[in-house]
Amino acid sequence: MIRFSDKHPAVTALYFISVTGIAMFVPHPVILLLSLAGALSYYLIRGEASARFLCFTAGLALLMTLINPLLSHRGETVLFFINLRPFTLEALLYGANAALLAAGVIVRMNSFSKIMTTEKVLCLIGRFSPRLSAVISAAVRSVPLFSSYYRHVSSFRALCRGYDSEPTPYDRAKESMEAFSATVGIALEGSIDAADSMDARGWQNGHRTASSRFVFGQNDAAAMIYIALSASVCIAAAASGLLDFDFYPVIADYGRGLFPLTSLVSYAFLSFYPAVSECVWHIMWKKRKTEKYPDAEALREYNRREAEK
Amino acid sequence: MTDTNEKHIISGTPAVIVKDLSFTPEGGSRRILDSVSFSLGEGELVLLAGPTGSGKSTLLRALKPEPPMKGRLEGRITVCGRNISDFSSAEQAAAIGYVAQDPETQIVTDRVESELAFGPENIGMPPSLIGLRVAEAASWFGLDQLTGTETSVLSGGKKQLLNLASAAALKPRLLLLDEPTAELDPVAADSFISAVKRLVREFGITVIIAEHRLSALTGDADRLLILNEGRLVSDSSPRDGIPVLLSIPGTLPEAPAAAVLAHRLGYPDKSFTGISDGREFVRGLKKTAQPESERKPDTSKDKEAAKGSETALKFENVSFRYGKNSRDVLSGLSFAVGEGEMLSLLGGNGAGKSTVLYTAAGLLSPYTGNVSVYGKKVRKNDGRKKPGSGRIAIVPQNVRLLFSGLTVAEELAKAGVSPENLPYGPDFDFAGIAGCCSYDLSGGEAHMLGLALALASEPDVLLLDEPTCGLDGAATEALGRALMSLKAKGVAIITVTHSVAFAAEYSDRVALLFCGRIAGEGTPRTFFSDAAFFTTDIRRITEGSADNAVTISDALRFFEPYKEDTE
Repeated sequence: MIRFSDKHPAVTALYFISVTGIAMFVPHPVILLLSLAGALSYYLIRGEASARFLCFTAGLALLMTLINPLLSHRGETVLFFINLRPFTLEALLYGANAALLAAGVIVRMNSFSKIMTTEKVLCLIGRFSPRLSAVISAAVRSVPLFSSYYRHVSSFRALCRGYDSEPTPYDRAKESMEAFSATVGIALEGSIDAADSMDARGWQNGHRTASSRFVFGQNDAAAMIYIALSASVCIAAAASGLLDFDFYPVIADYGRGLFPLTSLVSYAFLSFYPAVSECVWHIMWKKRKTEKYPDAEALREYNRREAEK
Repeated sequence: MTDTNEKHIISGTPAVIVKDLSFTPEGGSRRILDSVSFSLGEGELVLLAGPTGSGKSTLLRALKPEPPMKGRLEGRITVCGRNISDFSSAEQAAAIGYVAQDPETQIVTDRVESELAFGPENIGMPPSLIGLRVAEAASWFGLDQLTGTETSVLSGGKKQLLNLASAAALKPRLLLLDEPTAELDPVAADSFISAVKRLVREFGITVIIAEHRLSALTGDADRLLILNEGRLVSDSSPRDGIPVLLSIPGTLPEAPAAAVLAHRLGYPDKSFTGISDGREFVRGLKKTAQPESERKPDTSKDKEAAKGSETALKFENVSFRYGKNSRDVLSGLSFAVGEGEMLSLLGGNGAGKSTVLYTAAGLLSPYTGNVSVYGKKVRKNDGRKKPGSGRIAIVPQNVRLLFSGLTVAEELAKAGVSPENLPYGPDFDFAGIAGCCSYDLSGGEAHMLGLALALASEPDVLLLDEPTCGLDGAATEALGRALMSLKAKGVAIITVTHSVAFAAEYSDRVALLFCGRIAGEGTPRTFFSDAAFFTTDIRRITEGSADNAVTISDALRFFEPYKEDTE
């Protein structure tokens, strides 16, 4: 049992692309509901939930739901009038649908960004362009370096500079501009050293390979097949128009029969895959006893038993 | 110590042959390297010494085809029996490793693991083999717990070890190290040096290392090459080479203390590489000893310091931590520095030395306790105070953080400093380097400029973070003299330093910081006489022979009567 977040980056990437891709291009309310439910359950089970993030997402969804009927007046079921403009049920539901989509994608992306570290992204990019992956890695490194340089430069310079009177806002702005330009200078100077260090280790050599500690195993292949299968059922149904859904002028679901139902079920399998996988992981660890490092007594016991055999 | 000539015969063909190597920089007429020739055996640890500007870095760069130097390179370099111009890009990258001075800027990628893999990937090694190399290098250099770590959070020592490991992951035959420990603290420097020694002994890699602190390596190096003004003036065992080095002006403070003492006492041919042979020499001197009373060290300086003056900076029960749940970096720290006094803070890594400076400067504020300058509490942004009202200035370890990338003259003008008013002695001035870009200055020059910029605000309290890091002997002396004249003007100075020799020579008081508080303090003489580990080489050599001699001048005063007439 490998935890979902520890699977090969290719699995993670395929999963997030297909699950959010389908949600974005197939705006069927059931799909979007499944998408949000799946995303939310995984987010909560992972155990890194933040109340602030959830409130923000809920607030945004509520706002989207309410704004649409205020701006759009299409739809036949008028609930009431605001300033002589109709507030329709269809427009409200359309807004709610869009809100579901947004909330689902936001929650999913939050989990994705935590799982898909730069290291994993670079592993994927390295497959296609080993040079680009190295350049991106260098760029990622330069960000914290630059900000730490700037912090130091600005505080040391402020300290070493004396004013004869209280500095004006202009003085301060000028000071921070100077600190910024000095930081750029230092960073550029450092990048010359870095370039030398790259050349010293063969950067100019034509052929570059990419290595990665992530190994694509059998269970990654199985996960890929599972994701591809459940997604393709859904995509096939959507492509043949079986998952079309209209809000205007009246709510109309065109998907009737077994195939659309199957595709919705298969999307549920796709959407809840990480959450279920995570649950199984937690159950496994609940069942497992804490292991002890075998001490001398345990080893003697083992040998005795083996000898008896 | 193995005789080097003998070693050549044993190892057969030399690993490195350099013949008539000369280098003239682009647009210059003077040769930086002038007909340098030598050959090195396989598995030799070679120490490259010489004053700043003698061409040490240029020689190391010349031995590495990529990145190429701008200028004209003449002569012939053979590595492992092949001319290096015949090496392919991948071959030279693998066969010749290079580690420079700054640990930070040499790191290319964001994670330890990808950094180790960077070289092997560049030369197109198959991924399965890269995995093995990365694992081996990480395990062998003790970086295995850090492989997933971001490179930006490593300590300086670990960063430099990573740079060494990254070069070693390519299985080089020749390693070129250009002052690799100049910016490390002594503990990190020692672990770096011992990793280098292991590479030499266990894998037969030939290593050429340029260093200022010779004493760390003279005991283990097989050879000592000495460059002066681009010429190779000596190529011998360290023991034979040190007297040659001492005859070059400005190199004295870099050599092992015992050798310097012998040289100054008029035994120019005596040479020592370690503490124990130094002790033997000193004991030998003592056999012809004179009455104890005549050899008391001069203590007038101590009395003067103890006299006391107005308190400039005061810490009272200062405690600091970064966050609620982190540990105390400073805990109940109390000390005071008087007007015109210099206090040196020693201590291991993580003892809170730099934190003391930042707290004194008001860049960090303690959660309890008081920091005051001339009785006034220090607050954030105190640098903006008026002159004479207890201004504080700080010179960070990386002085380049104070520069704007202009020429030296422009930097000084911008800060409003006139070079004549600086407390620098006659042997240092900015006239010669006024047109240079501040980023291109040598370590010593950069520190003098950094100090000048810090003095622009006419501070009453000066804080120095590792001022001797990356400085050669002559620059250290120039800096020390500048600090002496600042002291004479009444500036209170706190230095955080790893260099016990510097602390002993120039400070009025020395304190050891441990776990965020002062574990012991005293005048240099009492402190270093009491200390067992944090003490000067001179004290280590003369302990038991000379009373409380902690600096070269103490020891000289003591042993002067035995000075040999060299006429």
